[in-house]
Amino acid sequence: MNYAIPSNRSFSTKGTVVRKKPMTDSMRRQREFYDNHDISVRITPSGECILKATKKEDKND
Amino acid sequence: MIKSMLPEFQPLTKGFNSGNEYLDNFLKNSVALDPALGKTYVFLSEDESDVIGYYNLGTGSLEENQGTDRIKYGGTIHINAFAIDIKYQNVVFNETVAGEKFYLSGIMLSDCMKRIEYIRENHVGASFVTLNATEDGRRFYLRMGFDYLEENMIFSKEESEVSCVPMYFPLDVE
Repeated sequence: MNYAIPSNRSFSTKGTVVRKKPMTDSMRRQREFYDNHDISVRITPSGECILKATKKEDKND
Repeated sequence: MIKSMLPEFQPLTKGFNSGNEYLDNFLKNSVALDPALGKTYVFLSEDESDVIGYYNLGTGSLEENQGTDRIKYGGTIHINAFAIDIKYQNVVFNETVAGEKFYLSGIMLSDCMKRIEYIRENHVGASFVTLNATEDGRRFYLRMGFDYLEENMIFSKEESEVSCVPMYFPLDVE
Protein backbone atom coordinates (compact mmCIF):
# COMPACT_ATOMS: atom_id res chain seq x y z
CA MET A 1 0.00 0.00 0.00
CA ASN A 2 1.28 3.42 -0.74
CA TYR A 3 -0.14 6.73 0.26
CA ALA A 4 1.73 9.34 -1.70
CA ILE A 5 3.29 8.39 -5.00
CA PRO A 6 2.68 5.77 -7.69
CA SER A 7 4.68 2.68 -6.76
CA ASN A 8 6.21 2.35 -10.23
CA ARG A 9 8.06 5.63 -9.96
CA SER A 10 11.68 5.81 -8.88
CA PHE A 11 12.81 8.03 -6.06
CA SER A 12 14.91 10.66 -7.71
CA THR A 13 15.18 14.37 -7.99
CA LYS A 14 16.20 15.75 -11.35
CA GLY A 15 19.70 15.86 -9.90
CA THR A 16 21.25 17.62 -12.87
CA VAL A 17 21.57 21.07 -11.38
CA VAL A 18 24.80 21.31 -9.46
CA ARG A 19 27.39 23.97 -8.91
CA LYS A 20 30.14 23.91 -11.49
CA LYS A 21 32.67 25.01 -8.89
CA PRO A 22 32.59 24.58 -5.11
CA MET A 23 32.14 28.25 -4.21
CA THR A 24 33.24 31.62 -5.49
CA ASP A 25 36.69 32.54 -4.17
CA SER A 26 35.20 35.51 -2.40
CA MET A 27 32.60 33.39 -0.61
CA ARG A 28 35.13 30.70 0.24
CA ARG A 29 37.53 33.18 1.82
CA GLN A 30 34.73 34.83 3.79
CA ARG A 31 33.49 31.44 4.97
CA GLU A 32 36.98 30.43 6.06
CA PHE A 33 37.36 33.69 7.93
CA TYR A 34 33.97 33.27 9.58
CA ASP A 35 34.59 29.61 10.42
CA ASN A 36 37.98 30.33 11.98
CA HIS A 37 37.08 33.33 14.10
CA ASP A 38 34.75 34.30 16.90
CA ILE A 39 33.28 37.53 15.70
CA SER A 40 31.79 40.36 17.70
CA VAL A 41 30.75 43.92 17.05
CA ARG A 42 30.84 46.53 19.81
CA ILE A 43 29.05 49.83 19.44
CA THR A 44 30.44 52.66 21.57
CA PRO A 45 28.11 55.27 23.13
CA SER A 46 29.20 57.68 20.39
CA GLY A 47 28.08 55.17 17.78
CA GLU A 48 31.52 54.01 16.74
CA CYS A 49 31.62 50.44 15.52
CA ILE A 50 34.45 48.32 16.90
CA LEU A 51 34.90 44.97 15.24
CA LYS A 52 36.64 42.08 16.91
CA ALA A 53 37.67 38.77 15.36
CA THR A 54 39.35 36.32 17.70
CA LYS A 55 40.94 33.30 16.11
CA LYS A 56 39.30 30.14 17.34
CA GLU A 57 41.70 27.98 19.28
CA ASP A 58 42.59 24.59 17.91
CA LYS A 59 40.70 22.05 20.02
CA ASN A 60 43.72 19.72 19.86
CA ASP A 61 45.97 22.25 21.58
CA MET B 1 26.79 37.24 17.55
CA ILE B 2 23.89 35.87 15.57
CA LYS B 3 20.97 34.48 17.54
CA SER B 4 17.44 33.26 17.02
CA MET B 5 14.99 36.14 17.14
CA LEU B 6 13.23 36.32 20.53
CA PRO B 7 10.40 38.58 21.75
CA GLU B 8 12.83 40.36 24.08
CA PHE B 9 14.87 41.55 21.09
CA GLN B 10 11.92 43.36 19.50
CA PRO B 11 12.45 46.70 21.30
CA LEU B 12 15.96 46.74 19.76
CA THR B 13 14.50 46.64 16.25
CA LYS B 14 12.69 49.99 16.64
CA GLY B 15 15.48 52.02 15.03
CA PHE B 16 16.44 49.40 12.47
CA ASN B 17 16.90 51.02 9.05
CA SER B 18 18.26 49.00 6.15
CA GLY B 19 17.05 51.45 3.54
CA ASN B 20 14.31 49.03 2.52
CA GLU B 21 11.01 49.79 4.23
CA TYR B 22 9.54 46.34 3.64
CA LEU B 23 12.53 44.57 5.19
CA ASP B 24 12.57 47.01 8.13
CA ASN B 25 8.87 46.52 8.82
CA PHE B 26 9.22 42.75 8.60
CA LEU B 27 11.71 42.77 11.46
CA LYS B 28 9.79 45.30 13.56
CA ASN B 29 6.53 43.42 13.17
CA SER B 30 5.48 40.28 15.03
CA VAL B 31 5.77 38.37 11.71
CA ALA B 32 9.49 38.13 12.43
CA LEU B 33 8.53 35.73 15.21
CA ASP B 34 5.94 33.80 13.22
CA PRO B 35 7.20 30.29 12.42
CA ALA B 36 4.57 29.99 9.70
CA LEU B 37 6.48 32.56 7.68
CA GLY B 38 10.01 31.52 8.51
CA LYS B 39 12.62 31.60 11.20
CA THR B 40 14.42 34.85 11.97
CA TYR B 41 18.04 35.21 13.09
CA VAL B 42 19.38 38.54 14.33
CA PHE B 43 22.96 39.82 14.20
CA LEU B 44 23.39 41.63 17.52
CA SER B 45 26.09 43.87 18.88
CA GLU B 46 28.29 42.35 21.60
CA ASP B 47 26.24 43.82 24.46
CA GLU B 48 22.94 43.01 22.70
CA SER B 49 21.98 46.68 22.59
CA ASP B 50 21.68 47.04 18.83
CA VAL B 51 20.56 45.01 15.83
CA ILE B 52 23.20 45.04 13.08
CA GLY B 53 21.21 42.91 10.68
CA TYR B 54 18.92 39.92 10.34
CA TYR B 55 17.84 37.15 8.01
CA ASN B 56 14.80 34.94 7.83
CA LEU B 57 14.74 31.38 6.47
CA GLY B 58 11.84 29.37 5.10
CA THR B 59 11.39 26.56 2.62
CA GLY B 60 10.27 26.21 -0.96
CA SER B 61 10.95 24.30 -4.15
CA LEU B 62 12.72 25.01 -7.39
CA GLU B 63 10.79 23.80 -10.41
CA GLU B 64 10.95 23.53 -14.16
CA ASN B 65 8.18 24.77 -16.40
CA GLN B 66 7.19 21.96 -18.76
CA GLY B 67 4.20 23.14 -20.71
CA THR B 68 1.34 23.28 -18.27
CA ASP B 69 3.22 21.24 -15.66
CA ARG B 70 5.79 22.30 -13.13
CA ILE B 71 8.30 19.54 -12.45
CA LYS B 72 10.30 19.74 -9.25
CA TYR B 73 14.08 20.10 -9.46
CA GLY B 74 14.44 19.92 -5.71
CA GLY B 75 13.55 21.40 -2.35
CA THR B 76 14.98 24.72 -1.27
CA ILE B 77 15.84 26.65 1.82
CA HIS B 78 14.58 30.09 0.91
CA ILE B 79 16.10 33.27 2.30
CA ASN B 80 12.91 35.24 2.85
CA ALA B 81 14.71 38.32 4.09
CA PHE B 82 18.30 39.50 4.52
CA ALA B 83 19.15 43.01 5.63
CA ILE B 84 21.91 45.01 7.32
CA ASP B 85 21.28 48.36 8.99
CA ILE B 86 22.56 51.27 6.87
CA LYS B 87 24.90 52.28 9.72
CA TYR B 88 26.84 49.06 9.23
CA GLN B 89 26.55 48.42 5.50
CA ASN B 90 29.94 49.90 4.63
CA VAL B 91 31.82 48.85 7.72
CA VAL B 92 34.82 46.77 6.68
CA PHE B 93 35.39 43.91 9.04
CA ASN B 94 38.66 42.68 7.72
CA GLU B 95 40.98 43.51 4.88
CA THR B 96 43.27 40.81 3.54
CA VAL B 97 46.86 41.37 2.45
CA ALA B 98 45.58 41.26 -1.12
CA GLY B 99 43.24 44.15 -0.30
CA GLU B 100 40.05 42.11 -0.27
CA LYS B 101 37.50 43.53 2.11
CA PHE B 102 35.09 41.57 4.26
CA TYR B 103 31.91 43.41 5.08
CA LEU B 104 29.39 42.59 7.77
CA SER B 105 26.97 41.49 5.05
CA GLY B 106 29.48 38.80 4.00
CA ILE B 107 29.91 37.70 7.60
CA MET B 108 26.14 37.42 8.04
CA LEU B 109 25.72 35.53 4.77
CA SER B 110 28.48 33.12 5.85
CA ASP B 111 26.51 32.44 9.03
CA CYS B 112 23.33 32.02 7.00
CA MET B 113 24.90 29.52 4.58
CA LYS B 114 26.53 27.59 7.41
CA ARG B 115 23.17 27.36 9.17
CA ILE B 116 21.51 26.17 5.97
CA GLU B 117 24.12 23.43 5.60
CA TYR B 118 23.46 22.40 9.20
CA ILE B 119 19.70 22.31 8.61
CA ARG B 120 20.21 20.21 5.48
CA GLU B 121 22.48 17.74 7.24
CA ASN B 122 20.40 17.42 10.39
CA HIS B 123 16.79 18.43 9.87
CA VAL B 124 15.36 19.12 6.42
CA GLY B 125 16.81 17.96 3.11
CA ALA B 126 17.18 20.49 0.33
CA SER B 127 18.99 20.83 -2.97
CA PHE B 128 19.15 24.60 -3.33
CA VAL B 129 19.20 27.93 -1.59
CA THR B 130 16.90 30.47 -3.21
CA LEU B 131 16.14 34.13 -2.69
CA ASN B 132 14.60 37.11 -4.42
CA ALA B 133 17.23 39.83 -4.60
CA THR B 134 16.54 43.53 -4.58
CA GLU B 135 18.35 45.57 -7.19
CA ASP B 136 20.85 46.64 -4.53
CA GLY B 137 21.48 43.08 -3.37
CA ARG B 138 21.85 41.45 -6.78
CA ARG B 139 25.57 42.12 -7.25
CA PHE B 140 26.36 41.05 -3.71
CA TYR B 141 24.70 37.67 -4.20
CA LEU B 142 26.39 37.16 -7.58
CA ARG B 143 29.75 37.78 -5.93
CA MET B 144 28.85 35.24 -3.29
CA GLY B 145 28.12 32.50 -5.83
CA PHE B 146 24.37 32.84 -6.37
CA ASP B 147 23.16 32.79 -9.95
CA TYR B 148 20.16 33.83 -11.98
CA LEU B 149 17.63 31.12 -12.72
CA GLU B 150 18.21 29.16 -15.90
CA GLU B 151 15.62 29.13 -18.64
CA ASN B 152 12.37 27.45 -17.55
CA MET B 153 13.38 27.44 -13.88
CA ILE B 154 10.85 28.94 -11.54
CA PHE B 155 9.95 29.22 -7.87
CA SER B 156 7.05 30.92 -6.20
CA LYS B 157 7.26 34.50 -5.03
CA GLU B 158 5.58 36.38 -2.24
CA GLU B 159 3.54 39.35 -3.40
CA SER B 160 6.18 41.64 -1.92
CA GLU B 161 8.92 40.00 -4.00
CA VAL B 162 7.37 40.51 -7.44
CA SER B 163 9.79 43.25 -8.47
CA CYS B 164 12.83 41.31 -7.20
CA VAL B 165 15.27 39.14 -9.13
CA PRO B 166 15.01 35.40 -8.38
CA MET B 167 18.38 33.76 -7.72
CA TYR B 168 19.55 30.34 -6.64
CA PHE B 169 22.57 28.49 -5.26
CA PRO B 170 22.89 24.71 -5.74
CA LEU B 171 24.05 22.96 -2.58
CA ASP B 172 25.44 19.95 -4.44
CA VAL B 173 28.82 20.29 -6.11
CA GLU B 174 29.79 18.57 -9.35
